Amino acid sequence: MNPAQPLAGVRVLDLCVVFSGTAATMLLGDLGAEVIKVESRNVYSVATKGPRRLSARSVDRLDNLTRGYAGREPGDRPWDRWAPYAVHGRNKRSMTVDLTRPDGRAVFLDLVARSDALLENNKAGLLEKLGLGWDVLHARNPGLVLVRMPPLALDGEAATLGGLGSNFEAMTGALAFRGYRDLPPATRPVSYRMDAATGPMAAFATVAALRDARRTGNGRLVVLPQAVTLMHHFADQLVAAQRGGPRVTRPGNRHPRMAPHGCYPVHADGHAEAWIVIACRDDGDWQACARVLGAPPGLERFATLAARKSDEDALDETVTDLTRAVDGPTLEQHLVAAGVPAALVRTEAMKLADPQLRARGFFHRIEHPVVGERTFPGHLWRTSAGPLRFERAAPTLGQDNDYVYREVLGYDDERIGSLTAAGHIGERYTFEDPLPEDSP
Amino acid sequence: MNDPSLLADLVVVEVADGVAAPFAARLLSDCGARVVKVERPGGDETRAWHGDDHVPDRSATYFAFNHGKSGVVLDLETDAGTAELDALLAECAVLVEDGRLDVARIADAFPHLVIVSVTPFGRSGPDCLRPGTELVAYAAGGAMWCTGLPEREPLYLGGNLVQAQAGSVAALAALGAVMAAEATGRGQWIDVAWVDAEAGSFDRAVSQLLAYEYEGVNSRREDPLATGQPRGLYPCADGEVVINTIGSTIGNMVRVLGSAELGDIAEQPALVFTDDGRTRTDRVVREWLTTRGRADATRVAQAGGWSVTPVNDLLDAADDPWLVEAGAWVEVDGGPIGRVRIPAPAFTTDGGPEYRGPAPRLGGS
Repeated sequence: MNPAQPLAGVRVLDLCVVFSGTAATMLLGDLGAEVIKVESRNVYSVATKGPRRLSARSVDRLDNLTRGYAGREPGDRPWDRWAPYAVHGRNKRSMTVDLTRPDGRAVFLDLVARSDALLENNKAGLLEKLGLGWDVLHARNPGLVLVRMPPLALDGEAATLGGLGSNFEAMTGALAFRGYRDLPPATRPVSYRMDAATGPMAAFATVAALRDARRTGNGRLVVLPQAVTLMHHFADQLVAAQRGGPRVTRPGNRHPRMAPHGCYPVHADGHAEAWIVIACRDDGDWQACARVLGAPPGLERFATLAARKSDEDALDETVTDLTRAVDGPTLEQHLVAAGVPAALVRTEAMKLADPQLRARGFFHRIEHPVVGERTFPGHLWRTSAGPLRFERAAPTLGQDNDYVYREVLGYDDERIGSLTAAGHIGERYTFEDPLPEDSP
Repeated sequence: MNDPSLLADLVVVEVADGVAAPFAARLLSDCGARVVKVERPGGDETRAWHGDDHVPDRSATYFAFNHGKSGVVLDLETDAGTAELDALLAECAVLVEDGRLDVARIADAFPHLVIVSVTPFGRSGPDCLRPGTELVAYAAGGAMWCTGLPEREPLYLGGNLVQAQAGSVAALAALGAVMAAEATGRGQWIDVAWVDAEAGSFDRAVSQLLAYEYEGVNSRREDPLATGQPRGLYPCADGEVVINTIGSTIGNMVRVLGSAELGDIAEQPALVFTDDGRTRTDRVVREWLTTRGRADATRVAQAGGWSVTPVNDLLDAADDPWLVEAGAWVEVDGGPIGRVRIPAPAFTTDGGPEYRGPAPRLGGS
């Protein structure tokens, strides 16, 4: 086995319809698992594939969350040209089957019998409605690991709340320690830490359960409420607030134990803006930082952390005056050489060119079936054992039907023919079908 | 003794300060792994964070990322300390460290060992062991460029979220390597950089990175109102709510608002993208919220299929009716820090994670 890909030979079924879950199955694929996206020709997941129709013109008004079409051309099948889907779809296979019909359900249960894990984050109750609850799946394959990832809960009123990751994140208190110091709370930015946090945690739970199943033969049900997973990422803040710490702060870019600790303008070199962050952990960092900044007279009064904290506005103004006209990359280089934690705030262009990310094999040049050869961002860690997996770009719908129905399920031509005729097997969504001749 | 915990058979040694590496070891500990935390004579730096009177055993941060572990103080500057560490390593399956150890020597001496390094920029490449902090790693790897308002400086997210993310990635990588070691008898060296984990994260960074590759256009700090459909934070009678309106829920939103003024938008949702439509919608939404508190706005909007949720502060969250109903909190005995409510286990399953006791006291638990 390739020890960097310990899940080789493990088959994972992916019924996930929002990012958090698709991130988990992506990570399992990185570790070598065969991940099969079980899709339906009748069900389109906007959350993981973007809008299903998009005019070329509308690309210009997309925001950060929705943009990312190859060559800014959405084309007829925009999902295959959309960056977020290309990210979480890496290494995965796609098959189609309609789970709402008995013959489709039978196919799925056959697949369950031949798989090791199933991950899902659909609307609460969907699996049960399809007759595919835990009892049914477990009876069919006692070794199966089922991982369910509701935002909050599988039942009760909490299960009925709808929203994106940013909705639930705000609920947990994750926004309570961010924000511009001088602006009202409603200007705090949202983020998507819940999607970020759930991927590794759900993959961790799956691997722990698979390891146990390998020894005992027993599968298990895992329920992972995404909001709770996120709360672990700032349990320090939640506990501190109960013990008399602030229940809400808007620190800007400041930090309770470091100063200067901020984001400062640097010479923009023809761009509209450029920024550097500097975090002085102690007086030594500050002395080194001051030297790099030219140590003009007047900085002596900031010698101690207490002094810097007591007039942090003046400190930040002083630093800003000293960085504003300086070339950013040069300043970053000098601060790092002096041992001061600092970094330019990187645009995507800067990250794509970053020598460190490149040296660490973060990017992968892969041929994508629709958009051609591209540089894809990739793996979250390195190991001495060899490369993590990045073999295939995101699959097109039903791309692997042949593989799954013939090689995995072992169905014969006749059965495949009838499932195709019944509309289960195909490579296009039903909404792509031409309208009948007599339609208005 | 038959401990049913998922990782009961795993012994882990942690030689690390801070949040990222300790959180990785704590996630293993939650699932039953026996984690020995090795601290330098002064203790983990986080013992001084969020403390009570600077008592090193009463730090909220230290507690949050180290509960359930046992502790030992070793001076690794001395031969005796190194010998004691080696004795621990001979008996464990996983070593988690934060960049301070001579990994090549350890890997050579203990070939069975899974070694997990968790550092800001990683232990390889031109930036090998470059110093970093939460802010620096978010700027270098994360979505900071597009976080904040367009006319202002980029903003970080506060807390230790980037480090916790790297820690959770490290826990996953560690467990994968344990499976490989069990199959092959050989360990491996996992090298997690906070920056890589953040650049590859689904908090926008990874999607934005490929979006740039695809389009040649960088992300930007956006005026939340510019998208037309209400999305983001909005003030209400007792705080703020988060609203996420998408194309298919514009109609639901208009019905919840019950405003005749938006009738045309219910029928033709694309009007929300016009200047006039955007302005009217924004005004009606804000007016509607002035008389409603967070919980009320949430209930009414959710009943109508519109994604509105409350923005809680750190104490409100502990009493949030939906979080409480979902069982998101457990109250535990935190030892030196007394009884506290902490997040419930990150996932539930037989033998799954649970609270396994207080964090180790400095110099002996």
